[in-house]
This record gives sequence, C-alpha cells and structure tokens, in this order.
Amino acid sequence: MPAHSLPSLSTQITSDLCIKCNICASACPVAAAADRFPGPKAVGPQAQRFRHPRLPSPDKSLDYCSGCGVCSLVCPHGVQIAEMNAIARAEIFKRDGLPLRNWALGRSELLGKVGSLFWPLSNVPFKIKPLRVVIEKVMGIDARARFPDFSRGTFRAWFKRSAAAKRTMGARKVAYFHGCASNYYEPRIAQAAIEVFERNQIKVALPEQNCCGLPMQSNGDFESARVYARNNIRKLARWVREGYDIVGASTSCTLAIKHEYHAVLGIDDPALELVATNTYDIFEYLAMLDDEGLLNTRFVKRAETVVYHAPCQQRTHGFGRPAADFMRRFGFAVIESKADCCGVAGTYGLKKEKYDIAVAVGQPLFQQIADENPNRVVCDSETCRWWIEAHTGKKAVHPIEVMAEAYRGRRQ
Amino acid sequence: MAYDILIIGAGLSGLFAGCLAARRRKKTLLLARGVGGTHIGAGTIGVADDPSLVKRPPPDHPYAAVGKKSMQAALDEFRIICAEAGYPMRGEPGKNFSLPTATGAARHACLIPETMIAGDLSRPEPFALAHFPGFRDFSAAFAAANIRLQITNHQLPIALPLPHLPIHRDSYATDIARLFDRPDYRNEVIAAWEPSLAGAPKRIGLPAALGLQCALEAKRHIESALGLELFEIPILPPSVPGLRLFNLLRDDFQNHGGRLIIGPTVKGRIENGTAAVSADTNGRVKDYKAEVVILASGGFLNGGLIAKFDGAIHDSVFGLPIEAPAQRSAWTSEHFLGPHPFAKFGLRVNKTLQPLDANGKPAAPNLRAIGSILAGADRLSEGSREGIELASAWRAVETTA
Amino acid sequence: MKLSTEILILGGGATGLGAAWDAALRGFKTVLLEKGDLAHGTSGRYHGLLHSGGRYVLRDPQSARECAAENALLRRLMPSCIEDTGGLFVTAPADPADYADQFFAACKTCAVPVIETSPAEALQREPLLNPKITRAFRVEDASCDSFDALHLLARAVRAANGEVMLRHRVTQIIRSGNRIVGVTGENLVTGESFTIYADIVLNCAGAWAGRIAAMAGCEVKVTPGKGLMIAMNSRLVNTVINRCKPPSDGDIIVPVGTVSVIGTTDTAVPNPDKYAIEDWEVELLMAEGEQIIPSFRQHRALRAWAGVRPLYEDTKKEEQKDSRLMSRAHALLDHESRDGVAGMLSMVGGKFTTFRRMAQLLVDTACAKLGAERKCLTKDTLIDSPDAKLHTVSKRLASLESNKWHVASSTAQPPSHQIICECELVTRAQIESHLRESGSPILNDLRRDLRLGMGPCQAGFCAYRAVGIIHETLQLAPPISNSQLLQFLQERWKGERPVMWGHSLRSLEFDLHIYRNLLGVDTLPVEREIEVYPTEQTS
Repeated sequence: MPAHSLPSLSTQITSDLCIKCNICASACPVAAAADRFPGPKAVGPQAQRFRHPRLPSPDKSLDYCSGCGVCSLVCPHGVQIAEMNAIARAEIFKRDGLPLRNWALGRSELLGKVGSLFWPLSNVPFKIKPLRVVIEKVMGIDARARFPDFSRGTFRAWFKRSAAAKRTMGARKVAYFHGCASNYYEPRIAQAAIEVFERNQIKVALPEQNCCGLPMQSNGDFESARVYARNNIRKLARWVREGYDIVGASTSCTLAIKHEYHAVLGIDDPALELVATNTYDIFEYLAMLDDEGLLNTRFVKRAETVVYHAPCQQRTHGFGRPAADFMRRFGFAVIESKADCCGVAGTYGLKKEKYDIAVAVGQPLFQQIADENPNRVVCDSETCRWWIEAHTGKKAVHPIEVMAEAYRGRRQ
Repeated sequence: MAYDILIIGAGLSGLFAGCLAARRRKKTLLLARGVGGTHIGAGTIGVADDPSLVKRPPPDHPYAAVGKKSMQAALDEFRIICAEAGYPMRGEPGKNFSLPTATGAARHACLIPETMIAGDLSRPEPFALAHFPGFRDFSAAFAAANIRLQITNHQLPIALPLPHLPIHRDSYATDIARLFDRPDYRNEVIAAWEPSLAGAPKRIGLPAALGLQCALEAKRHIESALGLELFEIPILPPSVPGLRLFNLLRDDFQNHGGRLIIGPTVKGRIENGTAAVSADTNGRVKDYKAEVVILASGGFLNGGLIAKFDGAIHDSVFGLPIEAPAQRSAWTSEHFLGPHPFAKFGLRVNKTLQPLDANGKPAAPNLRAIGSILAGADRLSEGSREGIELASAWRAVETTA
Repeated sequence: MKLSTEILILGGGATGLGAAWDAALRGFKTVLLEKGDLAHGTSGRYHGLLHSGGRYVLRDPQSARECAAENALLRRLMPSCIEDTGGLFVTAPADPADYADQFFAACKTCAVPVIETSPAEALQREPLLNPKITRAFRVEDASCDSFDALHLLARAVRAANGEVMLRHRVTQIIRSGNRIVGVTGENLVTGESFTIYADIVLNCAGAWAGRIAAMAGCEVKVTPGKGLMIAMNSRLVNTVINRCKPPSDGDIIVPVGTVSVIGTTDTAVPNPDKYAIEDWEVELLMAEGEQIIPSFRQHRALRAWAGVRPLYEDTKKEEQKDSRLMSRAHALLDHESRDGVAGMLSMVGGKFTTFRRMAQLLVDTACAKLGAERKCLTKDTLIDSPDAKLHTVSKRLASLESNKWHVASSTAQPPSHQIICECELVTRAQIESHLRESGSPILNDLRRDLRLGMGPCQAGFCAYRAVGIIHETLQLAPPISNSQLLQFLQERWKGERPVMWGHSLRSLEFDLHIYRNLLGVDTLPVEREIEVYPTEQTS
C-alpha cells in the first residue's frame, strides 16, 4: 500500500506561497460566470492577509465560492485556496449564525432517513410547485432546483438481505463507504460496486457510518461536520485495524475523508491518519489493482459513445481519470468533458442566489453534451449527475455501473 | 503499468514534449502540481534577441547542448501543432518581430500568433492603441506616449467601451476574452465601437484578450465589420495568448493519447542509477514507472528550483544540488532589472540533456531535463526563454527514440 | 520665495509634526520644512510599536511612565492609526528566569498596566508561539501605522493653519549676530530657492539634527543607531510579542497592518544616509524569531529595512559607545544657554510613542523664549475625526466589501473601488485622491501614504497600474513617468534583496518577467531622476 503523510504546513499558511500570478483567477469557473464572486485569489490568499482570528471577516462575497477546488488544483505553487475559503466561510457563519437553509442542506443524512421512512410520499413535496415557491421564499432554496427521488428501501437494507457479499471470500477485504446518496437515493450504484468487488473475489463488509460531513462543511457548519467526521473516523478505524481498505463510489465522500477532514476541518488525529491512509475512491482502488495485475479484466466489449465528466472532487483526488481508461477498454468511445465544473458543486446550485450562476458555470458542459449527443453521460459524483440530468435531459450514470455492465455483458 | 515517457511539469516545455512524445506513439504521462508558465507568458516564442546566440552559443548554454538542428525542428513541429489547432504561429527562425509592449517599449519574438501580427513595428501605417475603460491592466495613454517618442506615425489613444464587464469586481483579461468568444457579444462591441473609430487609423492595438476559444474568428469578425486591422499587446498575467497555447497543446497531447494529471506534488528519486517518480496527492503517494523521465519543472519562478535560506539550492523534484555561491548576496545584483547571477543557475546537462552530477557524470541515464531548469542562460537578457523550452523538449524526445 | 513665520520647524517626522501641531494649536504662525516626504526618515522606518512602557520598566522608569500615559492618550486622540493588538511579554527557554519577577514588580512601580497570564492562555491566543515559554504577561502594547499617523498629523497641522512644506531642504541657517533669524534652502521638486525668517527655529531633524545644528555653528552629537527590521509576509501573531528579558537584538514581533515585523538590531553607524544591511544581521533576526515562533523560518520574509535612531550622545560622556546603552529618552537643547546662539532649540533622541509629550516640552520652552504665555492644547484636541475608531486589520477589506455592491454601470467610468494594489487593497479612488492632494508624481509617496506595493507581489502588478494612473492624471512627459516606475521598482528591490531566498526569489523572477519580458521597461527612455532626499539605505 502507498505511503501516507499528512500535509505538514497548515492550510492558511500556504497563503505565503502565493505570488499573485492570477492562474487561479483565470481558471475559476464561478468567477467566469458571476461577477459577484471576486475570484479565488481575491477571497483566498489576498483577503487572508486582512483576516483576524478573533475578529469577524467582513467579506461575505466569499460565500459565492462554490468550493469546486479548481483553484487549488491549478495553482503551481501549492496554495490551498479553496480550503482557505471554506475555513473563512465557516468563521463567518460561526459569528453570524448559520442560515436555516444551510443547516438543512447540510443534513443529507437526516433528510435521507426521513425520506426513506415516508417513501413514496416523501417524494411528493419536492414536486409541488407552490410548496417549492414557499420553500424558496422562506429558506432560499431555488424552486427550479430538482431533487432526486428517494429510493424504495435503502442500500443498507438491501445489503443485509443480500447474501452476495458474504459468499465472496478473498484475501483482499473492503469496508464499503456508501455515503448518503447511494443509501437513500441510488442503491443501484452501491449494488454495482458490490458486484464489481464480487467479480474480483474481494470480501466486502458494510461498516457503521455517518454522512461524511461534507455537505455540512460546504454549508459552513464546521461544528457539526467535525462531529460527523469524528464518528466516521472512530467507526472506520476499527475496520482498517482489521485489515480492511475503506472504499467508496461517491468521490466527494472519500475525498472528504482523505483530505478535507484534515486540511479544512483541521482534525489532527492519529486515527484519522490511519483511516485517511486507507481510504480510496473506487476507481483509484480498481486502477491500483489493475496496476498490480490483480484486476479481473474479463470485460465483454461493447460499443457505446459516452461523455465522461470527471467532477471537481474526483480531480482533486489526483489519480488521473482511470474510469475513462477503463471504459475505453470496454470498447466505448469516451468523449472527455472539457468543462472544469458542472456548476452545482454539491448544494451550491440549489441556493436561490446561486442557481443561475451554477447553471451558467455548467453551460459549457451542457453545450458539449448537446453537441456530442451521447446516449449516456458518465460522472463519478451524485450531485453532478443529478444536475447534468436536470439540465441536459440525458441519463447520467456512475462509471462503476458501466463497469458492472462490462462484466455482465449487458446494460441493466 | 509502465509508461514510455513520464514528463514532470505542464509548462510550455513539458506540454510540448508531451505532444511530441504522444505524436510519436509513446505511452506518455504528464504529471504536474499545477499549470505552468504558459499562463503568465506573452504567448509568443522568443528564441534570441540576437540570432547569433543560436548559431554560436557559449559552450555552457542550453543551445549548445540541444544543437541548431533541434531548434529548427522544434519550431517547425511547434508551428504544425499550432496550425492544426487552427491557431497558426507566424514568423521564421533566425528572424524577429518587433512588437509594442504595454508600456510602449519594443519587444522581440520569433514566432507570434496571428492576433499580434498587425502590431509589427516595422510596418509604416499609423496605428492607435485602444483603452478599455474600467480595465486596469492596460494603460493605452502611457504606452502610447512612449511609442510616440520613438515612432511618429502613432496617434492618440482611443477609449473603446466594453459592455458587460464585471462591475462588482475587477476584470481579468480572461473575462474579456470569454466575452469575445461570443459572436453576439462581438456584434454588440462592433456597434459600440463604430462611432469612436471614425477617422481613427486603420490599425488598432488592444490588450491581449481577443477570445480564448476562437480568437482568430473574433479578430476577423471585428476587423471585417469595422474595416480595420486589430493586434493584441501582451499585458499583465493571466495571459490570454498563453492560455490559448496551453489549451491547444493540452488538447493535442490528450488527443494523441497522452495522459495528464494535474494536482499532485511530484517527487523523484534515483535508485540504482535509475530515476523513479511518485506523485503525492493529499498525502497519498503513488509510484509511476517509466522508461524515460523528463524533468520540465521550471526555474525558480515555477517551482523547479528552490533556494534555501542557508544558501543551498536544489531542484524541487529529485533534490539534485545546483552549483551556486553560498553567499545569498552573490545571487542577485543591486539593480532590480539585473542582470542577476541567479538567472543562470540550474541543472547542467550533456548533449543528451541528462542532468550531470558534480563529477560531470549523468545523474541517471533515463533522466532528461528541459526548459527553464537548465543552467547557463539569462533568458530575460537573451530573449531566449521559449526557444530553450521548445528546442530542449524536442531534443529530449528525440533522445528517447 | 520668501516668507516669515513665528515658529519654524525643521523635520517632518513624528517630533517635528507633533511640534508643528502643538504650535499651530497655540495660535502661532507655524511652518514645517521636510527635505523628503512625510515619514521619510526614522518615523517611517520603525517597527510600528506603540509602547506600553513594559520594555523600559527596569532600565528607564521615567520613559516607561511616559509611554504608558501617552499610549492611553494617543488611542483617544488618533485611533484610526492605532490597532489595539495588546502585547505579551514571554519568557522563552533561552531567557533569564529571574527577569520575569523583576519585570512584573517594576511594571507595578511604573504604573504600566500588566497582568500575568498562563503560558497555555498565551498559546491559545497565539498558536504559533513557542510552546516552551514558561511565563507570560499581558501589557497594553498596540501597533501604530506611522505613515497614517504622520499623514493625520500633517492634516491636523494644516487644519490649524500651520504649513507643512515637503521636499524643502535647508542649506543654510541665517544668523544675525548671535541670533538665528531664519533659513534658506531649495525646493527639491522645482529647484527654486527659498528663504524663511522665523522668530524661533525648532530643530526636530532626528538623526540629522546634528547637521542642522552644525549649520548654526553648534555642536550636537547625534549618533545614528541602525536598527534592522524584517517584515514577514503575514501576521504570524496578532498580539505584540516581547521577549521577557533585558533589551537585545530581535526581541520583539509587532503585527502591524498586514504583516508582522521582527526587530531590531542596534549598531552605531557614522552616516544616517548610507548604511548596508548585512547577511549576518538578517540571519540573527531570523534565528531570534525562531525563539519566539519555532516555525519562523518556514514563513516568508517579505522585506528588510533599517531605521536610524537618533541617539543623543552627551558630549561629556564620550565613553558610551554601545548605542543601545545610550538613552532613548529625549533631550531638549537650548542653544542660547548651551552654545550662546539664540533663536534655536533642538529636540533630539526620544521615541515615537512619546512624540506628543516631547512636542509639548519643546513648544513650552519656545513660548518662554518668545515671552508668550499660551497653554498647550494637544492633550485635549483630537487629531482624528470625532467618529474615528481604532484601526483593525480588516478595515480595507470591509470598506471594499461595502462599496462594491453600490455600482450601477460598467462602462462609464473606471469603478472607484477598482483595486490597483491587490496585496494591500489600494483602490483607484485612493490613488486619485492622493494625486489631487499632493500633485506628486512620486510612486514612493503613494507607498508611504497608501501602502501601495508593500505586499507579497512586491509591486509586480500595482506599479504598472499606478504609473498609468499617475501618467494620465498628471499628464506627465513619458520619461518622467518611466523614471518614476523604475525608481519605485528599484526602491522596493532594496528592501527585498536582503531576504532573497525561497518564495521571495520566486516572486522576484516573476516581477522581472513582468517588467522585462512582458513590459520591456529596461529599454524605456528615462529622465534625470527627480532628486528625492534622502537616498535611503544602500546595501
């Protein structure tokens, strides 16, 4: 397994590395779409010089940062711009109080639990226009933003029913982190992941887990996010100690565990280091098996043209785009998205004052999809898939579903 | 999985080497911590202000290592790649254009994009400089005043309004360029500019921001509608012409099957005489295997070289020591504009572009160094930055054949 | 130009401006001459500490008392340039253990407010502090932006009908018998000569006071004490941190503006205009910084500079050669009783924190000499506007944030909130108003007035933008604009060069790339440099 060392310089101190070159400013998809956002350099390392840890930061315009992380990615000098902004935003909310909207959008797990309990009725309210208008007025969640449907039954319930995972006996053991989306909305994705593990003789366990906390973090509620993070660290560390790797298909959940718990939430804890070291995005994990010659590559080839959009969070992982490479091996024509971001950035695009910005950010991607007109769009992040579906009318799937099909030899 | 060629750095030299390798059907991986020098350059290719530098380089100059043939071949292939992308670069080796800068000085470049061609200072027709009110990165009045001192056929600066600039924050050149990419926006601009241009010269210089995706289309659209010639003048970063080069090289690289990973901190080590590379992303370290490793991590500016407080200088990826005086005060000149001794610090290489250790032996046979990390050139004084980047990239890929 | 006045003050530092303000408030016709810009000398080159008095409690109790009183007063009189950072005296492992108790007791004796706090609390307040500190005391230190303070004072002088004349160099002192009656000199911008007659001349030229006195035929020995300071790129601490030990090199870090400044060294130099910054001095401060903040060397050093303290050497005690041992307290010299030359008083030595008190003493004495009985009003007269508040580091960010949403259209005029210097958030409106007020094409004046070019990009972007605005606004001949640009870049370079390693070297290469490769400024035609005095340090 690869070595792991947590970043030594704390996030804020990386502002010292900034030489103001504007590379981040030229790459920021939000600034390109909205002049209400002063841009990553301005609200990041630049504004950082004017912030006082014991005094309020006055620049509320930094809330227009979507947290997509493109700035940190393109910076050649190692400034953790997006991370810096996330911290500054949380400080503002800590002082001014968290808006009800941000509180609610951070509670994906709670929403999922309630939604599953009252299924299928729970899917109705999100589709009642007048109610949505009221919600928009009261809470500032845009009435046009589409919410996914709750699934009938959760992934966890399915996993307990299904004996499949227990049949598999291999030396390699995975504790699966499903995240809220797979559990409450799209169990099919976690099911595909389990199927792929099974095809590779990997023993899968389902650890106790919480929401990764990223929705709270990106809505500025660090206190709650830390509670969730610490719970996850505690629950997952047990499995790691027993020789399991933590793998998830929701690329933002795994990134939160690997990177943001430390760099943004500031958690410094040996148990986190243990968990972070052993947590993988599912395609990072499969590519690693492939590199070691351990992957089952008996794919049934099939021609299909797809547009693959590597979401922001996936790129921040920094392991390239193995999903695209795999799909080419399945016989697919893969058109890679040229867009930096689809716009939604988790819950950013759901907010009333940001909905139009998020749509504008996604426009180049939507245009590319319209031009290429594929059957399906492939993307590793759930919120991005939902957003792309809403704005292009195309079906959007996770690459792990495509991989399960390639083993199976047919589309589901 | 092993690559034929692994390149470290996504600046001009790294990307160009990537294109060359991918075009030669090499399995190529490019790793970079961020995007590189293209975004802050002028988007032009300077080879040498004095062409004799290429013909008779000093023995320790990178041009001596790469050879004249590589320069010619590099410029030729670079022009092919640009032309195929629909963004031709004009000019010929051994000659230089003289173009106005944003202060009204003259700068030289061997290859320039078509968007700058009408700025050629050797042409006799009068021209004027346009100022975009509200845009802080270009002062037409200041540049024009300096140009008038040297060139008589220049006329007063003209203010050309740009609708829809950001109003709650300052605009960057990229904001303007994205607007110019839109035909409807160009039509609006044409209507808005027409009155201001009555009686103006038929050659207008503008800050370099004429579109990111379709600059030539934008230029021709406005030119034909208004019956004049436009030319771009490089301004403060971010560089729109540089971004165009980045985009076209990246696309060419990826279209030819090259793989690009931007984000990780790249670390190299030399084991049993062989260069090996790993990438550290958020603390996760992944090893990459390759037959040949090309180090294109840049000079001090782009993080390829690191100068320590205690006077030690080394390359940031492999930790190779760089020869330099131990006294920091000997690195720089007391004059800001230099020339500064540190400009020539870097890796010494042989004709295969293998970095040499203190004994003059290659540090690792499978390692090459290209671009601004190479020792022996004062790129600012020579006007040779991009020439070194392209020629060394070409030569390095040639050595892997 | 010829004019006459009642009180003529030489020197536009804190002492001189303080005296001019005091004299003007008392109703005297007052003129102040400064050979450079405001804050061109020592007042603009110190670390920015408004002393709590703690530093002096053991060695100079009188100074400690004065500092404590003036500190409290100035917070009320000129809050907008003072940040209430608070201060800590901390005992680092290398510091003498017995000093802390003596210090604490002496603070009590000198009425310097002090509270002992725990090292843990100090660390919570300042997380980068050395975790091995053993004692910590809270005092009322503050930081003061001396550029802002001096600009405020100059405005207050003018508001009280006094005159402040910048770039006026005195070349000769006019005597009539044994009495000084005026001065002649040169306006350095226009080249015109001037003569000013005065009832009394107050020599407040600081480190240069000896030269003025010499022109009057009096010997005043002022030893320039060079003190090196390094500005770190960010506020490593938000509280002034003092080492709890006898004063020595590198014993203080002051968060001032957007940076933190470590100071200082102390070396006697022969000439206040020419002195070098040595590598070893920089190394010494970086090493001392590590005692206070263990990660000190990992942070970016932005610039280094030296100020010359005007240390008055009593000619009777020639043996005091270590300049730190010379008194930092001020001395008022009456040249009539001392040298038999009437019509001039010199104020030498002293420190920024007590400038008001020194001015009062000086003008009181001048009143006595002039036979006028006029009460000092400076204790009860606000220098700031009545609604001014204490400065906070967020101030510029806050005003930018509140201004930028009130913009209607994009094409008419450049928005006033357009940021020209991004590192220090200097707007176009601020620059234009400076140019209206001063008419000066000198970029360095903009720096001193607005902090233009003081941030991590080291003028990489703002110098070009600002020179464009100056060129357009003042309609200059291009060679003058070009010279201003180059001179400014060169002045910035002097400060950067001593700390040229790591990130700073990267930044230098970037700035060189901008100014030489992209802009080609090395080939622009230049005018003979406008003679700006003093030439500042040479390295």
